[in-house]
Amino acid sequence: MKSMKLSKEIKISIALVAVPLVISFLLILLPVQEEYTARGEIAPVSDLGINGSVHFTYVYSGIIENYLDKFYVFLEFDDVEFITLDDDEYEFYTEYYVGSDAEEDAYKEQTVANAVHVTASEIGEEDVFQDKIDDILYHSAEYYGDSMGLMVAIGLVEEMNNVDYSRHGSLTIAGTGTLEYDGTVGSIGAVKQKLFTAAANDVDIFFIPKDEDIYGMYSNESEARQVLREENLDLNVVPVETLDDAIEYLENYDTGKVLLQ
Amino acid sequence: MKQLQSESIGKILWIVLWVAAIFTAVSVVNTVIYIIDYQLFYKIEAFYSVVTIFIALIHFILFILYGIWIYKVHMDFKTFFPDHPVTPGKAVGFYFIPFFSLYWLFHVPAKLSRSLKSEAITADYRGKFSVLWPFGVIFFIIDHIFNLYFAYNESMYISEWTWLTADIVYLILLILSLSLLFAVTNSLQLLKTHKLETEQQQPADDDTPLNA
Repeated sequence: MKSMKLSKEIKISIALVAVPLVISFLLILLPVQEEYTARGEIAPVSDLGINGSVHFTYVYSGIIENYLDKFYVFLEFDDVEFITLDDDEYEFYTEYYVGSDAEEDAYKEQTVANAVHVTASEIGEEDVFQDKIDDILYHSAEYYGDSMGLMVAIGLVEEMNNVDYSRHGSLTIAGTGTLEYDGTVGSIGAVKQKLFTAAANDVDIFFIPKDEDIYGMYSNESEARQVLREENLDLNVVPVETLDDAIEYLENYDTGKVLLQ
Repeated sequence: MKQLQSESIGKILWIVLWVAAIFTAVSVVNTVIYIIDYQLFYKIEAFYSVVTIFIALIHFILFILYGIWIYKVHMDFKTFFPDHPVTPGKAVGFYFIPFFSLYWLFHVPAKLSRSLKSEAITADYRGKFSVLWPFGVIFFIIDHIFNLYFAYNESMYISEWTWLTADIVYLILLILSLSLLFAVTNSLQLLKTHKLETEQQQPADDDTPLNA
């Protein structure tokens, strides 16, 4: 049997074609199960149709299914963090990010409804609940997640009481945290990236959930303290347990009475 | 002269160009499927991604191969046309000078064409080369503009028709490159054969005894 002998040029060509082909297959077909979070921006609650001066904080996040996604995310965003997910977490996040929009909206709708309820009940406007909720949800269509709840509520307090906690824009007030039906501030994810975002935007007051008593070392509060120390961030982080705590802090800020640090 | 300086690299470039052209044609088909039947495209999305990444990577390999080939081709041109105005070093090196490289894109093939014109035996390929190289340069520039548009486009949305047009432009560029490579390589082969024949005739003439 006569063996076929390949010329030097053909061998080199095969190698030159094989290398990018193998890389392409590995980049696309090698499975990765990770979530990414990257530094985002602060946005005024006025973007949500609320006549307030405070800001909510958003970060970029999503799931990564292959190494090409990871490469693009790495190029696209600043301060990006990758978290490896196990099978159950991956399934949950896949549903959350790309699966059911209804479920995704349910978290946001609940926190917005709570924010409207908690603030509206103070001035007895129960009958305008749904219109207000729908209006905020309409304006917040491009955001998902429920971590805007606290700041939406503070904005609504400003709107309903006609106050400006930013002192005509001299203070940049931002924060993150869900809001429960009773006005309690709930824990959120991606604390590290949200602190980076706040620091990058020269925020003067940044609210986070006060949850160390409940979650201990896994709390937002504990993580925030660790990030501030490790990253040497110059940021005034204010943990709050309830909406009332945040309002009280803002109303007493000028007097130098720091109640919750 | 046993072998042209550019012979090996020319063969390698020829094969890799063919592979790139085939994958680009597949990419055109994929983009057409995306436009007319998204459900079907969704099923082959991973394959499409592999093809797209492969084309991007092979693009860089082609640039390197072209750089080596154009250097070697100019070495051959200097052998056959001692008056050829572009040296191998300049032919490659001047592509790296910003803005000047745009002029160089036109200058290098124009001078190759002029040198080929000076030999009667390369007339067929010279004609083909002279007609095709301006189109090659124009399609190269259009392809480059598309690449810049994709790289710096702020919007997340790029029209499927833009993708399709870019794919087709790149495919045409590769086909033109294959044709130009074919014309230059065959011209050089003819020149080599002619030179060998001339060299073989020369000693025979020298051996002729002189009549005193």
